[in-house]
Amino acid sequence: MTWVLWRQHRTQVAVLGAILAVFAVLMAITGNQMAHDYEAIRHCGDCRGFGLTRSYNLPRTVVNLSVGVPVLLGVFLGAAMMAREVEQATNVLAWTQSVTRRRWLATKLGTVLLITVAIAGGMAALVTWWSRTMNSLQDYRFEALQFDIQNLSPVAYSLFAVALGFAAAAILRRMLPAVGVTVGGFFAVRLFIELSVRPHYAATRHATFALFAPTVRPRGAWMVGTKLLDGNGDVVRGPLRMPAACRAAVDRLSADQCVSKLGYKVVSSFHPADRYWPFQWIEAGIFVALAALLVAVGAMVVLRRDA
Amino acid sequence: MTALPITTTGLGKRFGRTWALRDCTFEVPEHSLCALVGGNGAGKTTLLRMLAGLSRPTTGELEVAGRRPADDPAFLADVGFLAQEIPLYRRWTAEDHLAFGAHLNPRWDGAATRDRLRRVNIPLERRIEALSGGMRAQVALALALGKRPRVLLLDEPVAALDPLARRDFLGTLTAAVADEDLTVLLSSHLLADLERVCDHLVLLSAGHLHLCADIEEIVAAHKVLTAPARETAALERDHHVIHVDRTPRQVSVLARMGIGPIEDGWHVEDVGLEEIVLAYLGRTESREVASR
Repeated sequence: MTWVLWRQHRTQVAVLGAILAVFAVLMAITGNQMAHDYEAIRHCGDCRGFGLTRSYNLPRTVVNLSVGVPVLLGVFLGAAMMAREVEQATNVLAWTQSVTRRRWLATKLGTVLLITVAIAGGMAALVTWWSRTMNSLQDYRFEALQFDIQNLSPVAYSLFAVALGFAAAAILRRMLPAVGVTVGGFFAVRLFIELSVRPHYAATRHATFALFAPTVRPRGAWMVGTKLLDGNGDVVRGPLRMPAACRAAVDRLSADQCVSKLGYKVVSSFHPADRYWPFQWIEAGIFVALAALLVAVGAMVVLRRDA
Repeated sequence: MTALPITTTGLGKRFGRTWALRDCTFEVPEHSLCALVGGNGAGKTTLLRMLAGLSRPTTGELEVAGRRPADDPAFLADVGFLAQEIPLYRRWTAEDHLAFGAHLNPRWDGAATRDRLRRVNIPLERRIEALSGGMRAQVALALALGKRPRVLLLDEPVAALDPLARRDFLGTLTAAVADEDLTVLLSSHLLADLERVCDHLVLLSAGHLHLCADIEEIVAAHKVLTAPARETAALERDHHVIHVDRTPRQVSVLARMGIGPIEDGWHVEDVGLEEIVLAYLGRTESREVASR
């Protein structure tokens, strides 16, 4: 069985491995260069960062594009692994050898998920390593995009995407619809979790600022949102309308001062930096659990349904 | 005593609301090369796939090589199946398929399989997608035979082959049946081929079983009776009339002969398998038309 799977997936492994290798070379060169450049300017005060981020725009874009890796794995490993077999009826060939369908499926799923972890894990390790300079400069790794491409979460997303591709192909039995469901389903779930669930893994902390004072982002924090409160502590929705008490103000400056005196303030909600790892684990846990569920559903369909 | 290669009792399969196969009870004797015939949609593929353990029956029982189909290595090792689509991994070579068979089958006979493919001049190093239909069928057959099953199920394997490739294919098959402890159930529309190589026949029509017997016995039991225009009522009482062909001058009856006598005046003639099969297939069609 192992030989069969190797023969079947060696092209995919070679292609994915080659892409990973090219990416690794690119990351190694630019990552080291950037760390070196950073050493040179790290003591110059305010100039830090700006020049550096600009001159590494291209590799940075490439790194950010790795957010798409999970869905690609979902299509090329997950959906392809079942849909291609069924479309060419080679599953019938495999299921009429002396190996049970159960064993065939278990070995195949195990292999594909292992390849997924290897490729996604390699990619995530490279991205995390490359981002260390940017992380120490700006520490944005808790913010949406960076959170999604460093450390654990990209590996969990990849497992989820591959499981989704497998389940879709097992149920729909055709490549194109399975790819559609994989891509659409992946983005829907990812966005839903990111926008509506992840902010609530823990209660946000709040920081209050005077109306026209600059809001300060605690180092390494994930800024979830800001809101404007009036003198009574009620949230102001929409654009701020000039309160009646301040309509007499003659110019902009005195109007600002008048409004500030009424007690208007800005409240930002955020998750502090020390929640980064708990959040990574929760996020990864959710997607691994979803992946397990999809694998179970897909496997049940493959084992129960007539071929 | 070893169990019969194939036995079914009241076997039926329903897809949605339509029955693809219904109330199908038959046995196939050991070491036979059994033809499975029937029109399109008669239920041949449905029957073969249930026997191979690929799909589950809606009703009834079946045993292949003494076992109920199950996701079990012992059952799978005893049953070979070649699907209508002749599925093979397109980008693999024949050699890869030999390794595939060797890795997945405990009783794999590599030497004989390689020999079989060499005898029909299959280039082992070429990809399947570069082989002709006949060559692919040979590779698939060699793969199915190489696992040394006790029962081999073939779903229209020669449908797409030219006469020469068909002869080679059936030659490989008959040689294998002669050499080994093997029973074959083979579906096809090519009655002439079947009559040449098969010794047993199962006839399905519109999801029902009509005949299952030794071919020689079938041919011996069926006769064509002709006479100048006359009634067939007496004949139908004692014999099983399959088909009646009436012209103003003459009536011609194809019947399975019962034990009763034949009235005088009928001219009795032997009839070929092809005609018998056509009579059975035509009968259900005309019945269906009549019942609509």
